[in-house]
Amino acid sequence: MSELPERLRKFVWNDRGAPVQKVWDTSSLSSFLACPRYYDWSVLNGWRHASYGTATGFGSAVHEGFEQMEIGKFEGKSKEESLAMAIKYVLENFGEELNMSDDKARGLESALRAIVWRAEEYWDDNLKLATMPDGTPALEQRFEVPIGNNGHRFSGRIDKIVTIDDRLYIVDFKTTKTSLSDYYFKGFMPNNQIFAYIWACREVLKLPVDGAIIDGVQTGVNFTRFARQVFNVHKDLLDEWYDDTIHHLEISDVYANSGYYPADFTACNNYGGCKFRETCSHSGTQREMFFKEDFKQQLHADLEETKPMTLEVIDGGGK
Amino acid sequence: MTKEKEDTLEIPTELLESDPLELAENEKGIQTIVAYLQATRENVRSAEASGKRISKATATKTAPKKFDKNPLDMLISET
Repeated sequence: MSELPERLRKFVWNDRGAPVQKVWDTSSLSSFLACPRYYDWSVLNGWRHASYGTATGFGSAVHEGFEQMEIGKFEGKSKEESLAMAIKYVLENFGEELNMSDDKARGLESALRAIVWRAEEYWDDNLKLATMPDGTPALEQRFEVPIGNNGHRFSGRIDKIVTIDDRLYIVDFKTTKTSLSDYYFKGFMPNNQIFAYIWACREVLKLPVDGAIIDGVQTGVNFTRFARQVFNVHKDLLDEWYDDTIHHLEISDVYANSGYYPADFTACNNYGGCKFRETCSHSGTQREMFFKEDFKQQLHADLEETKPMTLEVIDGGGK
Repeated sequence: MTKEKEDTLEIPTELLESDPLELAENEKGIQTIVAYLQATRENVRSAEASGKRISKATATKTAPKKFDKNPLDMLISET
């Protein structure tokens, strides 16, 4: 079945023909913790809203534009040269897609503005980009490491590692339309992503990072704002997060083995309401009707590639 | 040219609405867009400092030039 021995598949089919996750990340972990049924339908079985618009890649455009600026600076280019390089990169790689955005706060002009304004704001930055042992800039560092003893792995992508007064911090860029207030930053402590990335850096990659910095970018139709917050995380908190995560992954194994993912109604109204709220409010054939009419299934590539020939795509997910 | 037009940034609409791949090859066009966006930042910062609501108009309305010296000192020295 596995034609890619060099890469562990993120998802596999189990003996019962049900999808199981082998490589976790903070997004899937958060989905699982919010509601196991949501996780089963959304993450494992790939049910998406049929009317869900095409993502314009705004966040990626801004992230990668910033990264081009950082590379230019690292290579000793001037601010103007780095800006020209970043703008050209975004136009070439995201321009057409961003021009299709109906949301003016997340279109091409907003992406270019975020890059230009950020250069004005942070070119003379006190956060210095760290250098990896091989001499490359510490940007876009991907990791995939074992977690626990039950064959689980954890993956992530660290946007940037910086030094402040000889102390290492990981940096995560966040683009948002939300105001970069104290309330916004409070959402990152405690936080699975922050803890997971610091854990991976300290315990697995052996990088002595002190903490994490959330580098926020608020984009509006006519403005962009920037704010940062530093989070130092004590070892005890990370140990606690690790133990909790192992416990949650063990529970996920129990659900996977039994093929039963219970619902947790406490998360139904989070973030404007779960996309499956209506579906969960109906049963039996009515539920199947909701799936047929409102959703489409898009399995992860690992599952599509290895789909058992005899498996029929489950209609409705509510097994 | 009216005073109002003098005080308003020229929006490079043609460039912003052009084919992104063509624009990516237009070095001068990219410089024009960068200069325009840098200017809007100054305007928005000035507008925010004076508590104004941020709109397309405030972003493109050129902020009044700042005096190098205290305006009162300037008035005294000119009299």
